[in-house]
Amino acid sequence: MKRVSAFIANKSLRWRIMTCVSMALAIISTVFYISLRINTSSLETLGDSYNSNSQLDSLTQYITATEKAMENYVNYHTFESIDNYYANRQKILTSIENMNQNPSKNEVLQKEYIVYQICNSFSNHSSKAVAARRGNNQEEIDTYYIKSVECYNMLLSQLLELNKLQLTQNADEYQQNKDTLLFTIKFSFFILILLSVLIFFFLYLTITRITKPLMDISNVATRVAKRDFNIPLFNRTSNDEIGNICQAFDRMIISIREYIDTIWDKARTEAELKEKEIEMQALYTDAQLKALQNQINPHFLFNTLNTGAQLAMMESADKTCYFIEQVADFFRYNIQQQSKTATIDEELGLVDNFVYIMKVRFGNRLEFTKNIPERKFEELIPAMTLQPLVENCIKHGLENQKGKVELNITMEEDYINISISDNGSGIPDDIKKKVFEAVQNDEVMLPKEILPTQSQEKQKNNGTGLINVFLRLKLYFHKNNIFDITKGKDGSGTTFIIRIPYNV
Amino acid sequence: MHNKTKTIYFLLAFSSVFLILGILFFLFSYFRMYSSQNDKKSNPSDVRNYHIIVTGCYENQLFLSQVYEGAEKYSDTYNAVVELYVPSSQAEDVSLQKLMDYASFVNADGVIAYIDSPDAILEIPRNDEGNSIPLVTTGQYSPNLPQVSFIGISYSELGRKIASETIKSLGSKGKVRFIGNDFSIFINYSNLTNSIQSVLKAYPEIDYSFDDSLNLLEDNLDLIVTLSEKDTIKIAQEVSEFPANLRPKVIGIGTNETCQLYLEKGSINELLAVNPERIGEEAISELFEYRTKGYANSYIAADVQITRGQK
Repeated sequence: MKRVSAFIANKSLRWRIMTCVSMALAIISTVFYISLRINTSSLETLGDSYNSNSQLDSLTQYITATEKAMENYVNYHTFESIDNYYANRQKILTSIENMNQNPSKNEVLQKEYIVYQICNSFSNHSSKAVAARRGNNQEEIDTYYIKSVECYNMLLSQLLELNKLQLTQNADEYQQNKDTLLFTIKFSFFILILLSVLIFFFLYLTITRITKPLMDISNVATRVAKRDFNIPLFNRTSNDEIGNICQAFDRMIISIREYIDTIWDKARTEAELKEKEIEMQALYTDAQLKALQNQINPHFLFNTLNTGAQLAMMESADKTCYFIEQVADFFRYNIQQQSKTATIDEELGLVDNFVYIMKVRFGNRLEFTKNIPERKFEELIPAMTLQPLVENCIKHGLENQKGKVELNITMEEDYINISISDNGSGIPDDIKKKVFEAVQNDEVMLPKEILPTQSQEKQKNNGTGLINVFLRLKLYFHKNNIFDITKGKDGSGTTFIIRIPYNV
Repeated sequence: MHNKTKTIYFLLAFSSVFLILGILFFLFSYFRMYSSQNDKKSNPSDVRNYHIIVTGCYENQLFLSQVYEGAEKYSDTYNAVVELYVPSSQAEDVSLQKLMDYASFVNADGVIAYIDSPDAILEIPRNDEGNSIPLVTTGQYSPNLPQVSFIGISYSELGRKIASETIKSLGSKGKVRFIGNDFSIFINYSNLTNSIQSVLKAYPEIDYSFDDSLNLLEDNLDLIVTLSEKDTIKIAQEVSEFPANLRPKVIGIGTNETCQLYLEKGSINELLAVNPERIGEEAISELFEYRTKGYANSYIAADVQITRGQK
């Protein structure tokens, strides 16, 4: 049943409708044909009912004619009479050929048998009478003529009885056939009504099976038109037209849902970016505010330092004057740094100022090496990028007896590679990892639990400066691989690497 | 599934089953009717090999019809059709010879005939090959007929039966008259009376006499026994004219319709007759014994049947 159902479900609507109509037509035609055949058969039987009586009448006529011919021949001995005799006798014998030739319990057949036998006897005796007449044997003529006449009378009487019996039987048959015919007509009518009801139900079901999915599709289309995409899929597997429409509809709904999801994702990403931009703006504003706050001291310090430099010049203390001028330049750069970007050369100048100051401070404990190719570096990078990294290296390098800091710039194919390294103890891997995660997640500080043993000031210095530099690099270049932190060449210390693309 | 759809499916299934059953019933009914019509016309099981005729004159119609019934009972055993060929009314009555001729014309395989007279002279029926058709007779024995077998009454046995019924009826004491007016001329009469007397002489208190007439008013009889069918009818008529409380008992012999009528009315108390059905059975048996063996019992005594009327 399931196989049949699956087979039908895989067929086209046209096939199903045509099959349904064809089956209905075939059933109606079959019933009509059977009914017609039965009716025809009954009518034929009805017509045949009285054939036997008609045949008996003919037989009676042949017998009478034979008897008459025999009588004529016996009396008048004419050729015509003997011709008639033989002709009619032959007709008798032909007529009785189809009669029952055995005794039977059936009344009619038994009577037929008797008639058959008496006909033969009549034929036999009359032949003998005719033969006797031919031989002019008067004694035999009398004997067989009398027997023939007796036989003839008996035959007529038996034929009459047979005729009556057949008439009765035929009347019964006629009645039965009539009943059958009426029964057939009534029953055919009943079957046709039943069949019509059946076909009606069958068509109703078939049409319902066809139209119901169309109604479903219509409902779903209406809901989609009202922007309601929270609708179940049809999931029809049939290969008919409706199945194809449903599958196409399912695909369309899935596509719409995916498209909506994409839009939602895009909108969410844009919102997040917007949020981050706002956050960065706030961060920058905050930094600017802090810078403004800090400008008070550098201005004051700058004016003071200039005064100190003039005083040192007046006292001919050139080194002191130079030192103070360097410090003043350093702070000037900080104060003058209004724009957010600076060239690499400007940043290197600041590093020189800062290193001079540090060298004055730490003397031979600090060894700063710089390897820079002979060219101008006018590529822009975020301001205050290199100095914090150098500062960090000096701080960690000085944890040793002698701090060694090295700044290298190499020209790579696609970018300028700036590396700043120290000979310190190196950044622990977990902190390095956290720094990268913070930069990745646009966070400005390391989690507090990372450095539990260090003082709050140290935590701030260790985390915030680096993250701030890397975050600004990332936001400026919109790339995550612009910076890196590695071990030194001998496996100790820390190397900060910055890759500045040529064309930004 | 939706309830409406379920209902439609149910109706659909129900209608389909109903339709199929209807069509099957229709076809079954039609073919049954058709085959019953054909069966009426020809049924191979109806075909028989032999045709036996039971015949006799109209006056023996009742007796012969019972003989026919007896023979018919055994017809299937011998694969034969038994036909009763007796004129249906007095007007249509024909001679026994004509009836025998009929047997010849229909080429019968055997004839059971009732012979009225011991002097009957008949042309034996012959089949279409000229051979004589086996004939079994009953009624009167005619030595002139080349019959295969005669099934008749044993008068000695009949006499003993009559005497026995007389004793039963009288209770071994009483006055009885045996009337043999019609029968007394026949040779078997003495056999019959001797047999009766030999039984009754053991009962001295039974006063019996044989006569051909009686006077019901004066003879003061307890019982009348008639020894022929005609006497039975005659005495029954006389007795029926008497008041019921004055009537003597009547034991008669006879098989015909009139005798049966008087028995039903109560004019006759007992009716003794040969058992015709048994004769039919015996006759058909003898006919086929003759066909198979070439010989049969030439004389068979028929059983005596006693029919008692209402008390």
